[in-house]
Amino acid sequence: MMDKKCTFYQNRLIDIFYEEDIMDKEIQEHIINCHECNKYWKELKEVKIKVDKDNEEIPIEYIKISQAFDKVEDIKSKRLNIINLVIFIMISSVLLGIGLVFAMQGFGREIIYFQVIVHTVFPIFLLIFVKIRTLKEDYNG
Amino acid sequence: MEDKLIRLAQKGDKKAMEKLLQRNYPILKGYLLKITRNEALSDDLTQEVMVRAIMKIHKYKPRGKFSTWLITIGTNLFRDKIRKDKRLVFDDSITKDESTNSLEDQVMIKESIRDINSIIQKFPEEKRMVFILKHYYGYRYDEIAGIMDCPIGTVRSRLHYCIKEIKNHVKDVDDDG
Repeated sequence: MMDKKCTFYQNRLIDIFYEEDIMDKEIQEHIINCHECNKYWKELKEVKIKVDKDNEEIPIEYIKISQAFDKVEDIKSKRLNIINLVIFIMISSVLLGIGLVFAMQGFGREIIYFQVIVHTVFPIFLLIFVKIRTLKEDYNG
Repeated sequence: MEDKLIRLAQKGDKKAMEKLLQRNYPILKGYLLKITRNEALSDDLTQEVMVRAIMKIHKYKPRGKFSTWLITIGTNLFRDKIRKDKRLVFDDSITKDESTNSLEDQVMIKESIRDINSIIQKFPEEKRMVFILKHYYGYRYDEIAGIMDCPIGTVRSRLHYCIKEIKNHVKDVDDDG
């Protein structure tokens, strides 16, 4: 007949089975003398045999590992794009703000002149920069 | 060896990180496959865990095994997934066993594994995770408590619940047979 003591020992047996407790003399003697706990211990071993059959080997999937690196690169470049966009919006807002302040103080005409100069001179400089760059890189295309 | 790879990976060495993931891939995938019982879902989660590990490697503090860290990330991601999608499908037909020669034996073993699997599958997720971590991967109670972020007593009681359920099932099948 199983009593409270057996329940206690059977709980300990599960811990011993999973190496979380040690099989001391007290429990060893109990298993020898108690038919229920002896049977319980044997059943635990049977559980191990039956469940372990499910432990199949998993091959290493190298492609999936390299795909993970690619995904990280994607995430990083998306984050960088967002940072660049935020910086662009901030700089544009500051410049627009400065422009508005000047316009409100009566420098509207000067701002228009400045815009015209920038829009005509800058592309010319850009062409020179591109030319220098292609010469440096020895670009034949 | 693993410590050295971790140090190199934390300094940005891609090859070291790749080696770390290759070494731990079978454990991670196997664990996720066991808790999800769903090939596609375990693939997605494995990928997600690797991505997170690559991105957060500089924050990793080597207290235990590297695989423990990966499994912790995997466990949290799986919990998030369940929370978001309660209609997840768990498949019990993924088990393969080709080690025996006799067809009859093969069928019987497959049936027996399927039986055990169906019992494990019916455990609530938290209990199933404890059982898998203990039974298949041999983690200590305190390590499982760390992975699952719960007290050691809870880990112990969850494992005891699973073992008793499986044991009763095995006993019932044997009695019927």
